[in-house]
Amino acid sequence: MIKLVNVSKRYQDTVALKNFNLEIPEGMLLVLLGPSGCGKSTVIRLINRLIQPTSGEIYVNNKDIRHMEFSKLRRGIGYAIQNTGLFPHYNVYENIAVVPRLLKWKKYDIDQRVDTLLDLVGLNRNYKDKLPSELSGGEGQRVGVARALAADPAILLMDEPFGSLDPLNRERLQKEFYRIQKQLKKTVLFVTHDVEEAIRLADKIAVMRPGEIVSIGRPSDFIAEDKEGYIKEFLGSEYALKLLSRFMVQDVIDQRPVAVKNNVTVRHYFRINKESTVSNALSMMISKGARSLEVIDEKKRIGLIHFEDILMNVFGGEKNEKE
Amino acid sequence: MKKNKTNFMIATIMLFLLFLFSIFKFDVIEKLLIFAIKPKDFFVARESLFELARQHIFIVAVSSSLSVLIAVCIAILTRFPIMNELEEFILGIAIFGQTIPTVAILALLVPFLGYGFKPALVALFIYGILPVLRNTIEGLNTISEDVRESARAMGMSPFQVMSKVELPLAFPAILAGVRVSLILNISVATIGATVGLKGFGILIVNGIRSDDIILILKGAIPVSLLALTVESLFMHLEKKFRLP
Repeated sequence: MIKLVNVSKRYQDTVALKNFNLEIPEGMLLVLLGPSGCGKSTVIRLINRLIQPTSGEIYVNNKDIRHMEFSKLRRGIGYAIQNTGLFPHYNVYENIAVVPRLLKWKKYDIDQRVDTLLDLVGLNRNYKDKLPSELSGGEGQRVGVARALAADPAILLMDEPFGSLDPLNRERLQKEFYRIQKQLKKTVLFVTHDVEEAIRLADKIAVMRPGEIVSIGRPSDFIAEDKEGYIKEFLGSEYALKLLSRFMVQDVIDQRPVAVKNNVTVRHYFRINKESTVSNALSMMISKGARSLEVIDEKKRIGLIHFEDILMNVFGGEKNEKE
Repeated sequence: MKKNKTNFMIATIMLFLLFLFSIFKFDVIEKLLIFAIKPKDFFVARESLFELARQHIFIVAVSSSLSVLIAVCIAILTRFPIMNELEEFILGIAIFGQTIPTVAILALLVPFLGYGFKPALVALFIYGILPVLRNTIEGLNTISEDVRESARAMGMSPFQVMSKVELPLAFPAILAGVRVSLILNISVATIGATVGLKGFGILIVNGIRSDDIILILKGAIPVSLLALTVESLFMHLEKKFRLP
């Protein structure tokens, strides 16, 4: 649990945050979304006390962080940043083992933990001896995430962790982090300026403008944002399209029994994997000129996805019906 | 990369062997030199070349160790927020110390410390500080802010950040500073002979006085070889500790 109450941060003559309030319940991934320089990173750095607030209170797990020791607070918070911040003179193993070693874990436990984490972030175990300079950007960032998770903290702070990766690697890591988060259910504050990234990962998105939060809600809530204004401008006119990448084909397909459909359909369909995103499906529909695609699960057909499914199921069918 | 490592290692060993040869078997070199240079009446040093080498190396080792210790400490102190402003000032003083001619420092020290070992030690100590200080400060400054911040964010104390992250990362730069400081002191120590310091400098100073080139070379050749040996040894170490 993270809670900021009326937090302000002022530098000499600039105001980074004014009366900032935010609460992230246990197990939620909240994305702080906003343009560069709007104070997103300031929020993160306030929580692990890399900087001090000018006024206001911050609670982590119901404890006022001013009354906690620096080291105790920080060792309980995983921290991942854009340029990994990996120690160049430590190999992968030592980098991941930093916090467990500070917490004086036994060698055997650390060995076990490092293996577990390498598996979790999808790195081969024989990477342990490599130095950060020998890793690709994506690999380095995986190690960064593993290091943040090392001592199994309840809270993760992530400051544009995938920001410096190429689009392909970024998407791959987002997917894997999404999977990891579903599995571990950490309380995560994730900072980014990438709308699509926010859509893919967030349980809730808080849209920021310099110094303050403008709006907060689930990713699909923002689709109802009709007013012309800051939010709409920042999220972009293609927000609905981007939102499609949040959903998997298997989430929106027709739930009617497959057998019935098998009788009806005799014609040939293009195929799509059930774990592809809905945006992939739509893209395929457009490129193939088809209104329906066959959904497969390991070569086995499990149903059909229709253009109408996307319209109705993704963007809240009930809203359309009312109108 | 690997090839370079072995090169410096071999060079170090060969230079060191040459150095040993020059202090133990200088008569062989002398015989060769006599072909080119007309010998003078031989000045006979009271100490053997080995004894002079021992004393030369001793004073350089002692003074450089002291300078390294002090310089690294000062550099670490400048990292603290309060001292941060002083970084330029401290470097300024060190650079100023460097610009005073060796002979002047030695002459200034003699009234206080007498002749021989002591004034030379202090002079070498002062000269040795700057290279190490400058390199350590540079080395610490080049560490990326991300790395420093990560270390803090993971709950390291300021002492742990320094000992586990900053100093190890600055170590190759510090080594380079130690190398420059040692080379400098090996040469400056010869000038120490003007205030009566025992070392290779005695041969050179006496050689100049008596216009005896062979005697000058008897001091100059071993000193040069010693300097080259140290240079090459530290190049090897720096390569070894530098991160790929």
